[in-house]
Amino acid sequence: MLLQRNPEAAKSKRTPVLLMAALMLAASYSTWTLADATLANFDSTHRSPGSFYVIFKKEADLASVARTGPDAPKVLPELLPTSKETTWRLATALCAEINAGLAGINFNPPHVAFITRDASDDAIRNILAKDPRIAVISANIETQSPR
Amino acid sequence: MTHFRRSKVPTFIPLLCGLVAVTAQVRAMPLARLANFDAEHRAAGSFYVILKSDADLSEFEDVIGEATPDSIVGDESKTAASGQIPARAEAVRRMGSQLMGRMHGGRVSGVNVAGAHRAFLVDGASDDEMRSVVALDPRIETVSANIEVRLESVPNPQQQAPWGLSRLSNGALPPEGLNFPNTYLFDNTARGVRIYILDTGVRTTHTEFQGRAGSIVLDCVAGLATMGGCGLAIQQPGNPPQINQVQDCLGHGTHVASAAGGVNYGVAKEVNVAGFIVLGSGNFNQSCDSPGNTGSLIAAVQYIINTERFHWNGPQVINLSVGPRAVDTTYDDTISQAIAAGLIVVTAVPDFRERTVPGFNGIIGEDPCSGSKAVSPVDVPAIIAVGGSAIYRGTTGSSIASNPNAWYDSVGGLSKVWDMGNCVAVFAPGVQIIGATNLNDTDSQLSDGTSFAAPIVSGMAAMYLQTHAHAVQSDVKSALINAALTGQILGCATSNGTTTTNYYLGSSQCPYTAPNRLAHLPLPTGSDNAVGGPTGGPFQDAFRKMWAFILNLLFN
Repeated sequence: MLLQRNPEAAKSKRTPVLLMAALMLAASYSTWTLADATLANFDSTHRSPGSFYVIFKKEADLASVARTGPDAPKVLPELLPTSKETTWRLATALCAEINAGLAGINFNPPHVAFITRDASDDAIRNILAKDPRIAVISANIETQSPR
Repeated sequence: MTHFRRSKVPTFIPLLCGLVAVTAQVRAMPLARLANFDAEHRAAGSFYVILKSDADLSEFEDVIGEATPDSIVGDESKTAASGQIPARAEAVRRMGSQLMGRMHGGRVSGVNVAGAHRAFLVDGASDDEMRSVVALDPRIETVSANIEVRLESVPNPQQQAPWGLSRLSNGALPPEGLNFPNTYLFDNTARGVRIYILDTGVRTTHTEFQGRAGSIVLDCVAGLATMGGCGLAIQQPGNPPQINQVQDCLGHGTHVASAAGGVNYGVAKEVNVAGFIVLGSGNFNQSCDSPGNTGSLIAAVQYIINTERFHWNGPQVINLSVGPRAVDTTYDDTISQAIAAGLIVVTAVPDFRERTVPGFNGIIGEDPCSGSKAVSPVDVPAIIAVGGSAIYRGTTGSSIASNPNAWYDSVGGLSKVWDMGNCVAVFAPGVQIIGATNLNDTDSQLSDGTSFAAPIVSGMAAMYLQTHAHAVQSDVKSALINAALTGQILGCATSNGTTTTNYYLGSSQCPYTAPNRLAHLPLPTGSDNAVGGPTGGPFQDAFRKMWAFILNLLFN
């Protein structure tokens, strides 16, 4: 026997599915917008465990970073890496936030960066990558041991 | 009415007198003894500053361990607590840096705290500021201008040269029965050119360098820190810290540096050598063989691009005998920036990555240029990538050559199979390469690897730059390629001692191959001569300009 489709019933079943999809899309969009740092080398072979090269945005781009409100950075939101001293302080605080060590800073504008030690991928993705002051997080590759 | 034409001269006489008076006063004031300031053949901008025996540096010792931008980077709390920071050396460095901070030019490039001696070395400073700032400090005993150490005469050709050098200036290998010629005929000495050695450090006091080598301590000079920390030597058994020496506890960097610029073992006999520690420093709680990472390399190259290259006013080459084990796009970008900034970059291809290939009767390395086994920065198209070669006589190893008594060039050596690919610019000697040891200032050691082929090519690049001071990466690469011997290298892979192969590098029988080019001299000559040396710094330049302006007004 051929069952006849009820258009109204199908419509009522479709509505929650569409709603759910919309919610999921919205949630994922929100995640994407928060994780605005570019991640590099995460899937590479021969990674140096826990070591990341974290590059801050250029000074001109930092000007548009909100200092207050929901879009402001979670760690020392008032601080921008525009000098050696503030870069050091910010890098120290960010590393502390993700329970990692700070191996060093590189203050050679336009390359303002720091190197982490003992940082986890999860913490990098979920915390550091969401900081609006950070442009790129590159997983460091182990260098070949000399013979 | 009579008009008198006003002369310019009287206007400036008071100014001139004032300047002379001030200068005379400044010169009369120094508390410290000044030495060698009027000597001939001074090393421009270079000074050795000796502290008084009773100089109190406690204020600098107190701050060690604090996490400030100028502190040693590594693990401050642990190192301070365990006392592993060389406190005396660090205090001297801090004191010297404080004095440099009052000047417009100059930086502390080394520290000597051997025995009761406390001194620091200054580069890039002017005479006037050394007189008016450093020599006035009551803690300073002597400010001595360094004298350039120069080779009185470099014998050319060099007799009894290591094979890695003599191979460069000899053509096709000689016929059966002849010994390999051991003379090295070089184009020039690469004077006025600098080579950066990004490696494990350089024992700058080794006699091979004759005072031409220095070490750059990243976080000490620019707030830039790498894993190597501040680089002040921790005393090792048999390896006391020396003036201007950043510790090289592995010895790799010292050996590499001497292959490029050693007086006996090096290609470029008078090149300036600048060492960076980018891994395995052994400093500050790190073990001597602690691995490095691309972050340190990126930081070092960025520092050269942004800062250090302005401290040397001649052509500059970066030698990379240490490299990542995979591709790092951030590092590649940094290398491209260095090349765009006018630096010449040479890298070794990886070695000892042996693999077998089905259907191929031998062992071969990987292809570092592309594909899944590519590595940075070999995959940067503009880079000068260097493979390693050896020479063997048929009877001494395998029967790879059809004539068992003939000498031949090969890729790598017996049981030493190294990477190759189409991006390799040239091959250069890399087996049984003699170089300076890190253990003392006079001995040598032998090593194998592409690590030692790269500095040979870096030295050749420096030679080319001596007479082509404004050449860019592509010019240098073309010159090296065009001068290379072609078709000389036998074997797309070496045998493992038992396997016989009969392939020429470049033949279709090889699983993959590389251009059959062996680094060779002479390179094209030119007339754009390098006049490199340390830069004087902004104060010195401003003083020169002001003096020129006054002379111009007086006499024109």
